[in-house]
Amino acid sequence: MNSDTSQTITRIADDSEMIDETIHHKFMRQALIIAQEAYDSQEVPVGCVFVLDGETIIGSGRNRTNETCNGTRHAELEAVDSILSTNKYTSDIFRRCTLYVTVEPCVMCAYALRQLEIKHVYYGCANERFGGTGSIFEIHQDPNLKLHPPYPCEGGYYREESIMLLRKFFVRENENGKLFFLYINYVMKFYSYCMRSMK
Amino acid sequence: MEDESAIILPFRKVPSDEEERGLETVDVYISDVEPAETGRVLKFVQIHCPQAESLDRVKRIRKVTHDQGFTLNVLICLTSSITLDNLKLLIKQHDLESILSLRIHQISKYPPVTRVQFEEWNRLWPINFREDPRRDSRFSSEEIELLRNHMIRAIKLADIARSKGEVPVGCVIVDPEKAEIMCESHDTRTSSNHPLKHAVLNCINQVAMFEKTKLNSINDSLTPKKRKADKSDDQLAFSSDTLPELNILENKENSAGVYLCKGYDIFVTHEPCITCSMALVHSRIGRVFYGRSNNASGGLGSYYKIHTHHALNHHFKTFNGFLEDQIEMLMIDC
Repeated sequence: MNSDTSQTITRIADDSEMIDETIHHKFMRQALIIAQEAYDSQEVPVGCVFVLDGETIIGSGRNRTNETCNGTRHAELEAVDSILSTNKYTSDIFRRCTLYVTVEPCVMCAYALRQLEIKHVYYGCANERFGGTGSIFEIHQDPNLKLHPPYPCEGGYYREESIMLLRKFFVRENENGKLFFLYINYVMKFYSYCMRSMK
Repeated sequence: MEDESAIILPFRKVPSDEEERGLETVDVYISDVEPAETGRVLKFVQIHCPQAESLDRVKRIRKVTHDQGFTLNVLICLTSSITLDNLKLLIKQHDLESILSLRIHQISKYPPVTRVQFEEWNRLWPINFREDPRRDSRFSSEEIELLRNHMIRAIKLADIARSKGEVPVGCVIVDPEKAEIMCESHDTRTSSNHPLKHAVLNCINQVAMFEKTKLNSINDSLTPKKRKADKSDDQLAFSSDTLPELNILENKENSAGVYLCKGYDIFVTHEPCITCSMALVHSRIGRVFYGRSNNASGGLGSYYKIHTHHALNHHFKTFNGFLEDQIEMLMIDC
């Protein structure tokens, strides 16, 4: 299963002669490669890249909620922290940055991006549970939030590939859950058997 | 025993939209009915009239008492589900013309959530109502004193932040069962040159680091035991020695989850911004107490109500106005 997704991602990464190929597809493929990395490290497969002036990738990030025991370590915040920790850039840099992320930013990240005054956001698939740029709230363009300017946000770039990664991740999680349950069951049965035979 | 309802709370609950909702009505057909005919009429209503889910929570019959005794009213159906002419035709078909005299009446559109709403809306037409006991928050005076101390600590942290030239927002995360402070922090966005280093996010990150070190130590204690089991016979690996290990495994499952603030209280001087509010949802916080509201971008009452939003998968109680007069007003993201 693991190698399957790797192959898909590599295939689309090589597939530069797509009919509707745009610059956005190019950067979104990079985000997908990072999402695949998250999948391989047992994390929810979401990846993102920040692109300066529409030309160079200055930082990337992926979900690290399990590794850090922290439900707020989403791809976007990871990338922002990694960009600012290099000390090469100040937080003003985000005004010149475009974000490419495989899944719609959640409510938390959507407002964080607004605070950073991001220039533009492109995402793969919608996030129906937490999405803050259309699914649950429309934080990116809410006119009543006066502190920071709104930003444009568009979805649908490699939507199927982004969903497929998520789906595979959750199927794997469920299988692991089942295995753990079976193991516990087995141990408990053996323990009660031992106790009975000791009597 | 002290009367808990007599205690004046130093904070207010931030209500959800459903709790704050005023009366909105919807039109229904009703009719007077003779007591002897109610059985027949109800059968007709149940079988032949259009049903609506929203009518399940109201009573079908009401009793209006007056000088001459009482009259029974029966609720037939929503005016939106059938026209008056069609309904009259239906009544004619079932030979009930002499019994039913239709008129239009208003009942509340939504089910009441609080007792106040129930008492007001019930006057229009009787409603079935069972109050959710979890909605009610009671505090003993000792508990309030404890909460106040935590809030004073948060204000102290805000003062420390101010003295360091930071944005004066302070925050404390407390385990209410042990009444012990898990982590405390203040805003550091100025010194770190990072606009997202808000007090609440800093505090959540600290709790995560704390949990992470705890988890690592559990892992360390787990590894030697596993080695010991490997050395022994295969059968012995499942002897009673392995049971404590199971417990550890379960603990590991609990702490390894990303629900790191489950059941904890957070005390923060200012209303968290939308980012911080949602971070609290992601961390499964138990309760939130804050002082000053933030009209610029507050996510827990002022601008959005993230703590009670129906589409989000975790809800928590939020209280505001706690020691408000000791806290400076800020017009930025907190």
